[in-house]
Amino acid sequence: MWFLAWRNCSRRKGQSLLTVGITALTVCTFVLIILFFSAVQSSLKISANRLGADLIVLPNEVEADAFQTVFTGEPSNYYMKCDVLDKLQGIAGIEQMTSQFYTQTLNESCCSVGIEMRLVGYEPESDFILVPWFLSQKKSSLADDEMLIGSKVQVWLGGRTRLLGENLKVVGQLEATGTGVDRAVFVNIATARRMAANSQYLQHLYQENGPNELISSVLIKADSKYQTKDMVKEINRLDLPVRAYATGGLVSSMRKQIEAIQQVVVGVWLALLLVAALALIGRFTALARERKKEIGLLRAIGVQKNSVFGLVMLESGILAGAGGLLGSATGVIAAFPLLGALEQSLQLPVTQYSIGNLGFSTLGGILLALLLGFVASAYPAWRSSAVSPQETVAKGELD
Amino acid sequence: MTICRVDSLSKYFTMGEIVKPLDKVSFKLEAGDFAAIEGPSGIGKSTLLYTIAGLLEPSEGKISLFEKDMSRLSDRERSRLRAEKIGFVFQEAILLQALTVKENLLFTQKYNKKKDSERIDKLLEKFGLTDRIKFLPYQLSVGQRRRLVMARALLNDPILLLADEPSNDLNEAWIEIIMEALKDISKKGGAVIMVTHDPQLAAQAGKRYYLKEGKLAEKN
Repeated sequence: MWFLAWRNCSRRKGQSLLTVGITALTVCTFVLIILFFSAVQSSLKISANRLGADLIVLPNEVEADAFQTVFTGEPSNYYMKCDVLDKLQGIAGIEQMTSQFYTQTLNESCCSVGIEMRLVGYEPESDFILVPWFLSQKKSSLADDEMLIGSKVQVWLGGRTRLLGENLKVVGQLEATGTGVDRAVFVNIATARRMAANSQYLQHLYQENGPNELISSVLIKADSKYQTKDMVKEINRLDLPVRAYATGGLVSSMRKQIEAIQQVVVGVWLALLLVAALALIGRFTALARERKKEIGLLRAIGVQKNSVFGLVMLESGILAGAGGLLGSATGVIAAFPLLGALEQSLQLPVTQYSIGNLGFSTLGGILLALLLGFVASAYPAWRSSAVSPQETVAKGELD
Repeated sequence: MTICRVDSLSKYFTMGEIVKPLDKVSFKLEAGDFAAIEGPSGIGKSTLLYTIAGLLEPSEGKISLFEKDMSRLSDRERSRLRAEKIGFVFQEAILLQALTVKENLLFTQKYNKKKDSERIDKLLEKFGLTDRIKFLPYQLSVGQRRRLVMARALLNDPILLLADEPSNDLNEAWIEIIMEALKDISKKGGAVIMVTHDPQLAAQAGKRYYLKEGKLAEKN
């Protein structure tokens, strides 16, 4: 029966391709959705931990974009005066505190990162964010002409890259964190300020105060005895043009937004699944109807009813399995560029897709296809096996 | 040995009104019999063949094949009987469209469990299909398809052959070859029931029946 099922699939190319195509499309969207949302969810889960800071203090004006400022590598040219640091010193529960100065790279084509991304100047004396990398490299800080890149920045490690008119040596690349760190370039704060001050294209940002008087964020590691939410309240009560955020809170508020989007996307996908199921039911019903006479013939040469049922199911299994494999493979391959683009446009943190996620979505896609094939073909298969051979032969062309 | 015994067989269909193509039909075929059933189109001749083959349930009456009551056999047992002892020729040349000429025969042979490739080759030669073994059904002429259907029906060396208008779409030379093949079955101790509307062909059968208004009458 395998032989006949295989020949029916392979020699009825047009019909088979249509069925495989419908299944593959459904499975491909399933795989993309699973991969994207599982990657975003797992990134959100680990982002707060890997950021290394419990609180972040940003200028008031950042409020609407706080999550993007912390968790994406988009340029974020917001500033507050350096004296904010002195005023924050009095807050109880601060274990470590450091500041960063953000500026940005430009769209330059030659010997550069080539796109606009955040350039972060870190404070070598107080930094605790980059410490793990420095420890692993047995290095204490970055020299004035050195830069460190996030895991998703694509430049030649060990080479020199031109940023804002300066040639910087790429001395290292950080591990993936799922935060803005992955898409940022790090230099020491003095270098960042100098580069910002010297770039004619960024002068509009520093008309009131020069880069040396400004910082973009204050990162705080809290003493474990203190509640971060209390510290946030205390900072926000100070009469300062800043706003403090608990990084965990930012994550959970973003998670709620993601879940809302997820519900809509899953709803749309379920509608697509229903349409695909109906289309496949139509396909298999038409297929069984077209072949009523053959089914009558099978019965006449001694094929049992359950074997006729098995034949139709086997064919749907072959087609659905092929659709599942094709859809899963296409989904996995398309996931990288497509979801990378989505990540950029939605400004969401997405870390690498894990082997577990890829395996789960691929296997899930194939199982979904088989289930879809089973649901779509069970009734036509049952009808084919139950109908009387004379009816299949004599009336095959009437209904 | 009685190969086929039909007792008071009736078959009703409800199609808006009740249609009764078979009404208390009785006849018997012994080994060596060759019966022709004649009658106008749409009168129920094919229904009689399907019912005898166990492909259609009788509404009333009893059919015994090889001295076994068909109503007592399971689907599995009936299927086995059809695969191993019965040859069936449909009125239309129905073939498995996704299989080549040879594959159609190989597939059928799998079910009658006679793995005899020589028999396939002989039948292909007998029906002039040797040079068409790799053709798909749609690539054959109507006559070639009809001959392939005949080859398939003879593949299991049937003891009972049920042939519904086997001469359709064939020229005289091929009709003669096919009629010889049918007669061979009865000569070898089997039985043949042939449905036909051609009196000349019916005349070649040892027994002639006429079906009209559900009643089967012997014709001399």
